[in-house]
Amino acid sequence: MNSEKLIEKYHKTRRYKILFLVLLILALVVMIFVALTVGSTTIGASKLIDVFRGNTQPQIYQVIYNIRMPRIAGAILAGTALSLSGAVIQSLLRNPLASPYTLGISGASAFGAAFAIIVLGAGSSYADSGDLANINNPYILTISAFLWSLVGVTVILLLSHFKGAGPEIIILAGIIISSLFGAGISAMQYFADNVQLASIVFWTFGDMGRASWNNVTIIALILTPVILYFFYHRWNYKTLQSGDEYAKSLGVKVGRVRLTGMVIASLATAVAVSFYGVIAFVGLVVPHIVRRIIGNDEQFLIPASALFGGLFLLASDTLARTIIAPVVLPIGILTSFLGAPLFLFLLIKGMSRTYWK
Amino acid sequence: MKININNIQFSYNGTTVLKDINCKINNGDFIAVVGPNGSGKSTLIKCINGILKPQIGTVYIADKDIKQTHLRDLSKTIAYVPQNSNGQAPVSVFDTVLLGRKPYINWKPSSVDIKITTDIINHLQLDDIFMKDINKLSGGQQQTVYIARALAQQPEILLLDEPTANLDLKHIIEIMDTLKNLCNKGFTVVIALHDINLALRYASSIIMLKEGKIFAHGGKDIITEENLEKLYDIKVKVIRNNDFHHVIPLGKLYREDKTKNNELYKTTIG
Ligand SMILES: Nc1ncnc2c1ncn2[C@@H]1O[C@H](COP(=O)(O)OP(=O)(O)OP(=O)(O)O)[C@@H](O)[C@H]1O
Ligand SMILES: [Mg+2]
Repeated sequence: MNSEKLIEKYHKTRRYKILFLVLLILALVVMIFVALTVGSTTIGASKLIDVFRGNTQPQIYQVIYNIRMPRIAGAILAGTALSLSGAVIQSLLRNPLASPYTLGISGASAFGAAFAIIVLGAGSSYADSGDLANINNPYILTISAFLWSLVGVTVILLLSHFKGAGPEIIILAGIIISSLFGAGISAMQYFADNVQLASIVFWTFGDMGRASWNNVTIIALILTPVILYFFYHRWNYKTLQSGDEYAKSLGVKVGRVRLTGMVIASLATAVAVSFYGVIAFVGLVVPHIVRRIIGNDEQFLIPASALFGGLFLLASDTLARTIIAPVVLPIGILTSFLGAPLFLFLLIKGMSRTYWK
Repeated sequence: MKININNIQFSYNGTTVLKDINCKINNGDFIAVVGPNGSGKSTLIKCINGILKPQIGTVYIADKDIKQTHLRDLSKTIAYVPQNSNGQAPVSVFDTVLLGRKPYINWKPSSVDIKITTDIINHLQLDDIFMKDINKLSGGQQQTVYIARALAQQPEILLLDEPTANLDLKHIIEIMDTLKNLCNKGFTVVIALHDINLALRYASSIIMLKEGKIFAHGGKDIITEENLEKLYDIKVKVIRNNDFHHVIPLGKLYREDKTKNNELYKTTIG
C-alpha cells in the first residue's frame, strides 16, 4: 500500500469519529427537546415555542423554566462529569473496570455529603422548609464530598502503585471502600433525626429531582475547567496506554499527570454526587460503549464520553420520569438495573483478558 | 549527538545495580551493550534517557546535563524501544506509531505527523496490519511496531533494548541495516543485545557489562575467548578470519563449582 492510500484510510477513520461526535450533538439537541415536552403534563412543540416567546400561562412557564430546564441541565452535567471521570480514570489506571462508582469514589463522596449534613450541619435549614433540594450551604456539602472522595482515591492510588495489583484487585479494593463508606452512611442514619434520615437515604441512590438552577450553576462552573483540563491532557492519557516507562521517555510526567488526573476526576464526581446522589455505573458503561464505537483513542474518547455521558443520563432520566408515570423513578435505581448486568458481562469477558473490546 | 555518561551509579531501593559507569559516545556511533541477564543493560539504557535518575553522576546529551533539560525537549532527540511492553492497552498499530510523534503534537497531529507515520509504516511493511490491535499481533510484529514508533520520533539518538529478541532472520537483518544506515547519517544508536555475533557484525564499539560495571569497552578486539568466558562463565570459541569474527558458545565451564552442580543435578533429576 502506498502512503497516499494509508493517509486516505487514516482520514476515513478520523472522519468516522468526527461524524460520531456530530451525531452525539444532534442527538443531545433532540433529547433536550423531548425531555422538555414529556412529563406529568405534556407540553407540545407549539406551546414550548410560546414559553420561549414569553406568552404563556405562568404554571407552564414555571414547569418549563424552574423544573424541567434545571433538571435537564443537571442530568447532562452529571452525566458528563461521571462519564468523563470514568473515561479518564480508566485511561490513567489502564484499568477497564475502573470508574468513579466501581472504585468507591462515588460512595466516598456520598458519605462526605451525608457527613456535611449530619456533622457539619450543612442541611439544617430544610427541617422547616421540608424541601430536600434546599441545602443551606451547598459549598460545604461539595467540599466535604470532595475531601472524602480523596480518601478513597488515595487508597486506590497506593494500591495501584504495587505492580502486582491487577485490575480485579483494584476493583475489589473499590468494593471494600464502597462498603466501608456505605457502613459509615448507615451509622450516621442510625444517629440522625427523621428529616436528616430522609435526606441521607436520598444520597444512597441518585435522583435528578434535586436539580435546581443553583446547583446546576455550581456544577457548570466547576465542570468547565475540568473538561478543558482533561481535553488538554488527552495526548498524555493516550501515551500512558503504552506503559509508564515509555510515557516517561516521551516526556510525560507520569506521576504528576496521574495524581492530578485522579484528583480532578474525583472533584468532578464529588460535585455530581453531592447534589444528585450516587448514580451507579454511568461512568463505567458510557466510556465502554464509546470505546466500542470509536476505539481506544483518547483524542476522541474524551470529548465523546463527555457528550455521550450527558446524552445517556438525560435519556435515562427522561425514561425514569415517564416509564411508570406519574411515579418518578430515582435515576440511580434505573442506571443500576442497566449497569449491573454490563459490569458482570465485562467481568466475565475479563477472564479471557480481552476487556476493552 | 554525543552522549557522555559521567561516573553514574544507580540503585533500586538501596540495591546498587550500576556502578562507576563512564563512557563517551560520539555522533554516528553504533554501540552494542552486552552482558549476562541482570547485569544492568536495561537499567543503563533507562538512565541515558532520564526514565531512571542515577543517584550519583550525570548524563550529558550534546554537553547538556539531562537533569537540566526539559523532558519534552529530550524526547525530541532520544527515542526508546523498551525491552518488553507489559500492560500495553489495546491500541491500533497506526495509533501506536503515531504516538512517536507525541513530542511534536500540540492540538492534533499535523499532516507532517501523519505523513511521517505512514511512511515509516510502509517502510517497515506494517501496512497490511496498520489498523489491527497491537495486542493481537505476533511478538515479532509487535517489536517491529515499537521500532517504527521510535523511528517516527525522528530522534538523533536511538536507544533499543533487545529489539531483535522476537524477530525472524529477515527482520533482524532489515532492522539492523536500517539502524546502521541511520548511523551512517550521523545518528547515534545504543542497543542492548544478547547476540554477540550481531554485535560484532554491526556495532562500531561494544560495551560489556558485568554485575553493573563496565567490564570492557572497545572494538571487535575485546571479543576474546578469555573475556567472554569471564563474562558469561561458559566456554566459547572465537573464530577470526581477517575482518570476520564469529563466536560459538561451546558449553559449560567446568570449575570448582562442579560438585555443587552435581548435587543440584542429583536433587532435581536423580
Ligand atoms: N524495577 C526494579 N526494581 C528492583 N530491581 C530491579 C528492577 N529492575 C531491575 N532490577 C534489578 O536490577 C538488575 C539489573 O536489571 P536489568 O534489567 O538492567 O538487567 P539486564 O541486563 O537488562 O538483564 P536482561 O538481559 O535479563 O534484560 C537485576 O538484578 C534486576 O533484578
Ligand atoms: Mg534488560
